[in-house]
Amino acid sequence: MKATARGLIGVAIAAAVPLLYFRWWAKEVGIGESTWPCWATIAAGIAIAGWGALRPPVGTRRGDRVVAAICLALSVGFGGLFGWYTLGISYELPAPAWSELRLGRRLPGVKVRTPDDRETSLLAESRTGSLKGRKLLLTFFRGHW
Amino acid sequence: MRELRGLQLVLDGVRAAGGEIVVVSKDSPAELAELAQEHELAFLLLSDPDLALVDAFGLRHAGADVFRGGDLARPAVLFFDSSGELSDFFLTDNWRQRLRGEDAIARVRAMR
Repeated sequence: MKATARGLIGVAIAAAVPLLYFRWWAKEVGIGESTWPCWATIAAGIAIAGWGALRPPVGTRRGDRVVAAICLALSVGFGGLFGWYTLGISYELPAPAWSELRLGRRLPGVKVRTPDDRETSLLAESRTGSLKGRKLLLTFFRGHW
Repeated sequence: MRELRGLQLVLDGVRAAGGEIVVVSKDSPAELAELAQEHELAFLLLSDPDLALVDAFGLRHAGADVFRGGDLARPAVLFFDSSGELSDFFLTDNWRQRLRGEDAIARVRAMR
């Protein structure tokens, strides 16, 4: 296989990881969750690009060597981009407003909407709706987080 | 999505303990309807696009929505007893740590 082909395949693999991570992985699996397959794929891409740039077939022209070297640099760059995003992101969370989160406080009457676009509130649901007489586990969906 | 699927898995246990699960999101009602259908979620989803309910509990996480921009709720699980009083809560300092399903059921069961 030509050095340029190796380089292009390698950079394509390395570039696919950040792209797929944003488009699919982060939303389906979660940001920062189980990223080792991503890292393994990037490593494979860099290895293939490196194979083209550092071990080109005998007789490879200078221009092809340059292209292969650029592909290797781009592969490493995509790996860095992925690492910057997944490792640089903060896992720390702000403290809640404790004055609002005191034990014994009642369900609020803040208006929210159901999936069928009906206006309601936790207070209303607990008095007359589907939550009447029930204990409640309330949590907050952060999307892909 | 894994978090929602996890909640669906413990829903029967929570209901057997006398509880219900409610999930609040900044997604629109239409988005929540699609989400519930796609993932076959049987618990109540509520749309809070302005985070008014999130603010009522002091749980706003400024700048956390890196995909759409804006704020999100800080990860938290609140437990209200059958009279509607906040009885317990789970907060983490690291969003990768989540309440385990069996712990959630146990906390619901422990409430009056």
